[in-house]
Amino acid sequence: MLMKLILVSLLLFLVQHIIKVVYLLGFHLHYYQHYPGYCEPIKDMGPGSEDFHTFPDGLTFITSGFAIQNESVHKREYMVKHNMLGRMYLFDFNNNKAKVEELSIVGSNGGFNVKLFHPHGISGWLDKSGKKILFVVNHERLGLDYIEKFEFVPGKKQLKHVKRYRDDTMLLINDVQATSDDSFYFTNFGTGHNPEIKLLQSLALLRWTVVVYYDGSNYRIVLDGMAMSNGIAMSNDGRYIYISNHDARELVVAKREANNDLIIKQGYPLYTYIDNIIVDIKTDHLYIGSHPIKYQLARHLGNPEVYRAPSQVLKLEMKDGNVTGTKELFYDDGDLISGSATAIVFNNKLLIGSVIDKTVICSFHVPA
Amino acid sequence: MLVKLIIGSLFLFLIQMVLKTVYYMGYHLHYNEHYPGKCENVDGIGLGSEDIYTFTDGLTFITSGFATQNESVHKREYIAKHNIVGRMYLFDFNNNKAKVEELSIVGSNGGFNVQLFHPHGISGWLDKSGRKLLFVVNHEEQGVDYIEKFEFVPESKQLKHVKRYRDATMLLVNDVQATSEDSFYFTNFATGPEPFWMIIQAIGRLAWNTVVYCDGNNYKIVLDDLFVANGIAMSNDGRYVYIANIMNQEIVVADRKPNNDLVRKQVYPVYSYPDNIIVDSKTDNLYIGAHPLLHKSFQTLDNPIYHSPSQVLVLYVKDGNITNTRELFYNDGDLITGSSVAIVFNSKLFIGSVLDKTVLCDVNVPL
Repeated sequence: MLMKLILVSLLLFLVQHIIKVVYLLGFHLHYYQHYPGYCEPIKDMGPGSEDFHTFPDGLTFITSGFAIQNESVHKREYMVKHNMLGRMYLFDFNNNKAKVEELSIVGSNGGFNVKLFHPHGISGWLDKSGKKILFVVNHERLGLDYIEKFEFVPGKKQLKHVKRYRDDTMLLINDVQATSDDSFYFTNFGTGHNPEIKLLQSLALLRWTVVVYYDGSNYRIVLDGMAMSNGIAMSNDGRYIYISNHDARELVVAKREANNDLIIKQGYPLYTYIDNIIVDIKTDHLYIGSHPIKYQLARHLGNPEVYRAPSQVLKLEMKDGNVTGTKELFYDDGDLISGSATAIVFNNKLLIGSVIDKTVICSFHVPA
Repeated sequence: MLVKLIIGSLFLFLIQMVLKTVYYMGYHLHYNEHYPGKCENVDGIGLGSEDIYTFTDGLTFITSGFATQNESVHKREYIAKHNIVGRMYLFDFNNNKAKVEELSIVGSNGGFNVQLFHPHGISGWLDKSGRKLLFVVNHEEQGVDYIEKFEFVPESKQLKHVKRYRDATMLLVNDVQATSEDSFYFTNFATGPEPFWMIIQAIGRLAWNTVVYCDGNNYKIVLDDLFVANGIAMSNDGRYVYIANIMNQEIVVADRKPNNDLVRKQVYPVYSYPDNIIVDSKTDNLYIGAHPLLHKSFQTLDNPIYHSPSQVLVLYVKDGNITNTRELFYNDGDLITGSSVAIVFNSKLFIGSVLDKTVLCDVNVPL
């Protein structure tokens, strides 16, 4: 009798879990395309523009060629076919052109090897002398995850590697947010490099990922229980940290304590799988690149040559660290751009980056 | 044993019906707002602008004050409180203003009484002398449904009632589509005005509704097995008729036969609840006012103080086939609740609602 009860309970638990997962995969969802203006893809770029940072002068640094250390066979074929290497591009909002320039990367501090470079998240900082500093997440091929610090040399359109950061808390890094020229937060989107374990965690709806802070000397975990923390950004006044709680389909707003600890202030449900967050320099509003239909994203990332995934850009209005409204700026079924990860509206233009697909720029003619 | 089987089957059948109904209500759906440009409310109009007809010169005729003969208690209170009576308004796309003028309605052919007038669907036609004719669905208060024909008198901004159409096939009429100055198609959206059968039909998902054709003298059913036929429109060349099969979340494209019979050509899913359809006079594309969340729409239908979202879709048409869709407008209901009709004309988007405000937006995005 007890045995029957236990078995039936386990069975019911399993059934409800399977139904939940199938629902979250989004097979039943249908959305419509719409654009804020005229959109075109940027030519002559390698695949991917997973994250970018725009300085107040309009210079935008884009990471391209995203790959983790253990990729699927199809993804590897795709990378070879499209000559997909880790690259950094520069986009200038002041030029009225849909073009980028590739930046040359020099330097090899701490063993940094540009041939094994696969950039992911990025965060920019202006040091005291006004030099542009970039922190970039690197999934070093056949190696570990690092956060690399570069200095931009404008005269030569060059990124000079200046410092390499490494710690055991760097499990599978996604994004980084600088808080000074030698300190930052970063998000882990897995607990290690094994893709099967990551998939199991995702399917079991476990919340095991963490956000870490580096203060210049030590690393410590400041937030845990995240269901795949993804993008991370800081409000203009430095008081709040925004994190994409990707698998929970929510934006986490955390208050930053004096000692840089994070206390969750608001968990705002968005019903879409959000990726990177960019804070508008003037209005404090958030631009978010997002993946609305999970099963299509998973299919695309596993086999990008064959499958497209929808792209969505949201704008969140913020007031005192609370989300007060949402608008959808862009929605495409995947034909123009698949897997949008990052977006920004600057100078009446909308720039959208994708995980491993094209990059798009749109004229922006709708109320923002 | 047999009894157990029967009871078990009935039980399972009931469960799947409940699940299906809950799913179609859309409690689990979430959409985001977006606009094609700056939007503002249109002044001078009472509540409701359920359907409109725009002539090629930009003059637009709007029906307002929709109500069927059997409305709920809450709805009746709302109607009395807001002084909602059946009215017709005129909007001119050539003026760059978000304003309308009320049209005076004169005439009483066949017993037409403007005090009992509650207009719903509308269709326009230019007669041989270029005069603007309007066919309007009328749910006559405490009476039956009629289709009224009016002539527009531009000098006095007047609608002169000229003819009244009535037939037993007019069960609960929704929209009308003119095919000449004395013939038209119309849709029935229920089998009668009583709410009881409407509820049974909705829960059982029974396809009981019809499209009827009047050739000037006789009426005949030309399409049936529709699950609440709502808006109806005709392609510019008169070859195709589009019907919003609202509760089945689809647009039916029908071939028009020489004898005016309709044969289904394409059934296009829209994953939303489409209301009225307007055909763009230049591109042949369709503009649709839709209700995306059914559970909210039902709430609003019963008691208009509740907001429900508004959505405008553009359906691209090629040779009578709908090929693609774009969403032009989405609002959670605070700007406009229950969008039922829309048109883009002169780079402006005009949106009407069942019993709420009317909105005019700039269209700054590619169509």
